[in-house]
Amino acid sequence: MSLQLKLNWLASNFHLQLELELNNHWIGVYGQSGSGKTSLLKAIAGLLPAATAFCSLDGELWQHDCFQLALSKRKALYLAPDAVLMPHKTALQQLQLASHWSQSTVDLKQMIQDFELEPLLALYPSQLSSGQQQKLALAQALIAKPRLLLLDEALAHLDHQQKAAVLQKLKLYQQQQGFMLLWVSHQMEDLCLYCEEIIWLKHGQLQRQQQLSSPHSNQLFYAI
Amino acid sequence: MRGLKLIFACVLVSCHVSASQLIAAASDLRLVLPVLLQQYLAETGVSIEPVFASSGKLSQQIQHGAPFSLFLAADSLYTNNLLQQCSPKQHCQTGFYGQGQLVIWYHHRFQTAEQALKHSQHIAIADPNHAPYGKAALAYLQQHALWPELEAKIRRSDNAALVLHMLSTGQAEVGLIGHALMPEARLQQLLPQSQQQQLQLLQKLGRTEVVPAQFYPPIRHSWFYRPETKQPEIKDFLQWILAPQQQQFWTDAGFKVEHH
Amino acid sequence: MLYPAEWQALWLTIKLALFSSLLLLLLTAPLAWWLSRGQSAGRNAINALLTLPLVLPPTVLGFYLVLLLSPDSWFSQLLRLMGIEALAFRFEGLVLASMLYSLPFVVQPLQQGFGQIAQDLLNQSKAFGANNWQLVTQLIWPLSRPALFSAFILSFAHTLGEFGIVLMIGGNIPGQTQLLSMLIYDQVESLNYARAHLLSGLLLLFSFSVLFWLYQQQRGQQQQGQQQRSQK
Repeated sequence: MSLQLKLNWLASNFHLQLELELNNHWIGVYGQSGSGKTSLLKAIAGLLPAATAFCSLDGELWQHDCFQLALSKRKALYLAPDAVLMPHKTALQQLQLASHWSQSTVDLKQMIQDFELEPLLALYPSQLSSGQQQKLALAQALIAKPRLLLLDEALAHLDHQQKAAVLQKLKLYQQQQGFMLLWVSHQMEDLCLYCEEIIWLKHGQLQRQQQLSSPHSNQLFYAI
Repeated sequence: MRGLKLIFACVLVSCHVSASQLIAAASDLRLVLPVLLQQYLAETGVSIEPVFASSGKLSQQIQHGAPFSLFLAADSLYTNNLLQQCSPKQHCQTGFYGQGQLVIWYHHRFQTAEQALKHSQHIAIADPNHAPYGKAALAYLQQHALWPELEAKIRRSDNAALVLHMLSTGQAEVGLIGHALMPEARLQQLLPQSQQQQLQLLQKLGRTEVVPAQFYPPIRHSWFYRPETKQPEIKDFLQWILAPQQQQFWTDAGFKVEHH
Repeated sequence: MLYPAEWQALWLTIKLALFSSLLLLLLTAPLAWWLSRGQSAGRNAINALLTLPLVLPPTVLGFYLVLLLSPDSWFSQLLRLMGIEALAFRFEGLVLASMLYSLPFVVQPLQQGFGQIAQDLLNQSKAFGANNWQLVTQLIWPLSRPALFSAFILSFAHTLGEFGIVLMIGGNIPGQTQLLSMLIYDQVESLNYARAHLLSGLLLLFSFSVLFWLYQQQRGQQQQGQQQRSQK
């Protein structure tokens, strides 16, 4: 998979300028608060059209100048730190709707089992803890079979144990479905454990882009 | 929600209300005209519904397309005006059906009408801009010796009938209205109970005097007729009210009728 | 207890309130949606225009409507071309008038209700692949139902109490434009205080019970929602 991206955005107190080409499946995004990580993910998802000069996935044009591919055709799912859920639907209904909307063939029961969602199914989002909400949002996203999954601290509210279990399942689904995953996290050790490549942002600019499988991977640790 | 749907369904079903025969009439006929219409219904079986407002307002409405084919105005000014705007194709007609009289009502605590005008706090009249009895009342007051004093005491109401309302609720101690709003006892007996009570109350509270005709320009009650295919019975009704048999009614209602 | 003319006026009043409120909801919902999705000079201008009936006296609106609805106006001629009679002094004209008059009472609650639906949620649902129809039926409709409800209440109640504009354009014609408020005015003019008392009391009672009933319904919905959420 190959994602090409060019961002140029001048906000009042923030200047984002990036040119990227990403080819790996697990990509970690690292950087201090305010370095432009969220903007990067939102731009890829198509939520910041003003900031995006160019975006394409596997040669399919997503955005260039005035042209913008509709959100429903991209299948790029952005998961925010606070899970976005429908307040009037139970967990089960949310999963069903996601499956219905994306015309997915993913096995719902399997998904519920994998993410241990059974006890939550009859509950509304406001009855769930923030960690449970994140788990639900992730399961919902995986049902929709994304081509690109953009996690913006989307697992940060899970405890250590749960996170490990969820990540393991996520890895499994990634291998099955073959999507590309961009993962913003402040936990460097998580990123290093799962990612093949890490990009490091600073003040809205690309500081470093590093393959982890390469022999030079150690350099990154020193740099940080 | 189901109740709402039910109501809505009912509303749709009852969408078309049968149009009855409508006539427009000046406000001073508000009490007596229903009696006349009742008599007409009893004689002919035709039911006619009146819509009341001041003559000026009604003529405005007719100009703007209100569906009245007969208009009983209190001033020939308005009927002539409507006649002029009629195209020859429409075969509009006007005519005279009686001369209205202005009466003054004043509270018992005043001895005479003159005293009442002098010492009262408020004088109620209809709006002279569009109500003929208001115009006549203003003309009467203007030629009065005390006019500068009186002017400040005038309280205008929308039409002649509302003057009666102001008097009966004590908002004014003196009022000038059409005689037809204070009809003769013979006609009063035919009114609905509640109206009779109100009129009796007013008669107990004060006195009514007819204002001599030389003090105000004549109030020429005129009708305006515009034939409409939807309301064929109206023409018959017009002829009926103008017939000699109805003379007594108009006299009782306080009109001076010219004998043909 | 009531005379036929009074039943007719009562019925006409309810009919007018229902018709104009429902039509208004249908017609202004898309507009309110557009208004709720952001800020711009164009939106502000339209917002100001829609709020005008709230600040203008009914006489201003009534005056323009009289001109607009009269048989010789360009509007009536346009209608005639489409085979519709002039609307002056007819029920349809009153519906149009009360729709204009109740405009801010519908658009503002709708706009607020729609505004509370997060753009993030809409975007995410689109990204899942939901089409516009699915967005409306499964997301926007259930989430904005309370707003639609209160817009309807306000418009309905407002139309029940309408008088100024009806006085100017209605003509007080039984079965067409003689609303209960007009009939009461009429009865007062004819010194029929007993009937005026009865009708006024009736309108008072009726308005109160409708509002009470509607609010009860709304509260019921809210309680249901709270129960679902309170088990946290």
